[in-house]
Amino acid sequence: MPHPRFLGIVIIGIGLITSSKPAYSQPPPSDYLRSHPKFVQIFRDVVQPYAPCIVRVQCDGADTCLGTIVGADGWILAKAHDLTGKITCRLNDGRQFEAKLVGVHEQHDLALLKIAAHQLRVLQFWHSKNAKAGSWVASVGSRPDAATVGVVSVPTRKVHEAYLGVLANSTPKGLIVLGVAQKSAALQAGLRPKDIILHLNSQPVADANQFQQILADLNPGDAIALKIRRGAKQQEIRATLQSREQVGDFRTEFQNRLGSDLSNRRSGYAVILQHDSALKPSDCGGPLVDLQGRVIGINISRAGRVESWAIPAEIVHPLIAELKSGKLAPKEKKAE
Amino acid sequence: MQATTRRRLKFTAAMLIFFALVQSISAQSALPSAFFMKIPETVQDLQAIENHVQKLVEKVMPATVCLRVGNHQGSGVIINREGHILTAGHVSGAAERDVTVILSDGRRLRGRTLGANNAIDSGMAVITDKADFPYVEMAKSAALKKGQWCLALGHPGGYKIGRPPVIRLGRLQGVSAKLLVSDCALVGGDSGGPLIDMHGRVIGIHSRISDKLSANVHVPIDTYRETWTRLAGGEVWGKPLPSLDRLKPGEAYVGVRVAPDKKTLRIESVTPGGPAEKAGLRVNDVILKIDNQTLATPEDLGGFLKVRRPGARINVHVQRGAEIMSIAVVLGKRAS
Repeated sequence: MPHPRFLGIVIIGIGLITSSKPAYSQPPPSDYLRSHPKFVQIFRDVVQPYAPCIVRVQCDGADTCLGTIVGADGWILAKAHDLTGKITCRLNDGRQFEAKLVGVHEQHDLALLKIAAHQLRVLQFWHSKNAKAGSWVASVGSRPDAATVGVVSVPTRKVHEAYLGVLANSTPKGLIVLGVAQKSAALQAGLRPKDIILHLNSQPVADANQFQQILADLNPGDAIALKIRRGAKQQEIRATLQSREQVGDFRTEFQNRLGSDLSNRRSGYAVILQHDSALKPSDCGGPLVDLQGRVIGINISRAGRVESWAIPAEIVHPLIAELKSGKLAPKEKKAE
Repeated sequence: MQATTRRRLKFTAAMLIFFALVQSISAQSALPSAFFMKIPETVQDLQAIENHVQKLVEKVMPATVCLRVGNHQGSGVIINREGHILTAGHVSGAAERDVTVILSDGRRLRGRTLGANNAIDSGMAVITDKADFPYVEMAKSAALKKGQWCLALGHPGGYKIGRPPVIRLGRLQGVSAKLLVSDCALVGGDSGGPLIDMHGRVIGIHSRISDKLSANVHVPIDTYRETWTRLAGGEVWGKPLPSLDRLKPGEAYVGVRVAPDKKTLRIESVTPGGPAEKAGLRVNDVILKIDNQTLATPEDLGGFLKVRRPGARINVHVQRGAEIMSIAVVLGKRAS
């Protein structure tokens, strides 16, 4: 007997029911799943050329992420966030090397490692500009077949995460606050339902779209000033923008985690390519390729139940030189 | 011209027109053979699927909307010139409520909720603004088969500026009169969004999920046809699907007892031999946050643990005396 879970999240309430078992009369045939070995196999020729360009990155002996070879003399690009302790890389041919962390790009979550290996097979980057929604993508892993396959869900876009936590509606009287989210910046700043928002950072706002457009250019942590009308008086309210993750409620968290493990870092990225593959967090750091076998991105995060993210190839490629240069050397870690 | 020749000519003309019509109808409904295979076989099959799906996306995305009703939001799809929107019953909720309809291009229109059948989770709304908007047609779900390819669109996590409706491609895993199951992954925010067949018609409306990534439940489109007059007339009926409002007691276990301490949590006791003690957490440590989430009450901690699994590694940020430190804890399993 199914126990659907009804999850209405408030502000902004997001409805989706969770059931423990869907009630259809027979068990689902696995022939129709994209994880079926015969289906994944179709992508083998697409991913296999990249097998020698991939390494397994371990931290203190534990599999942490994948690395992608970007320089023949032992330059490995990896996902930065979970790197810790003693870092080693295991090549496709089984050889294992100690790795030195030589560069980190915080925002794009990319790290450059150096190992004492030479004549390695380097991968070529393409770009994600033609990766339209619905395009097949294959994630290269450490085995001959694709680690996972799926389609592009949203073409490369800038991520807007600055979150105020206010639900407002455009009315003839102006932009009226309908509600303020729990734990949100709006709540902490003292914004209340029925307040009319007049200005955001000295820019007049006449409707919800305008308001969102201004917010879209700001980042979590930015301080903002709101001029509002409450009753007969005008007031100024100051707030510090948050990221959605900071105010996430547990029900959304719960749903997002149903059926797959998520990456530890799922926010703060500037530009991402989103696909619907069921990527394992430990397979981040490897390349994402299209049906023509071209590298369109580097997988960077399993961000939710419906989404895996990659940093677009056109963003990654120019960074490699910067990471090699020493300009992005990792900060000294505090002794614990 | 002789009468018989005239008749023959008319007959020939009629037959030619008939065949032309048949040609054009079958050309419209002719799908690449890859869609009819149990499991596609070649990269060419995948390419045919990709080309077709990319075109479909362009056609159906503009009719996919975000719906904001009171404190809640979900998705919907416009299915006729009159502006009727199909959605989930738990998104539209009660009838005659104000709705903000956000189109895929960011335009906002006003609407009104109509009826809902809570027993199967179907719902309806209608656009009330006079405007031009696209729509997609409804298919007939009686003819649906397992294995049939389908496209899911919606706004997972709610409407995000700069992000169009999110595309997922999958196949039907189960079909019944009351529900469809597909492997198109859904999450909160997607409710009410459309499941589309390869002809670009709506076959289902997203409703609920279970703990399997490949089990996502949609309301079959025929139910909307069958109950059209009641839904469009604003009737709300049916016993709502049973739902668990409270999360089940979880398995993940950390082994501390905490008490609220202003906006933080103070550890009152540490269970001997438990994960917290093993990791080095101590009585009087004040928990500031865990991973990225601020916790203020014991219920917050309980809620946090309910969404994590035994074996997961969490970073507990505590204040100990004057020092702030981050302690990694591997969650244990609660003895049943």
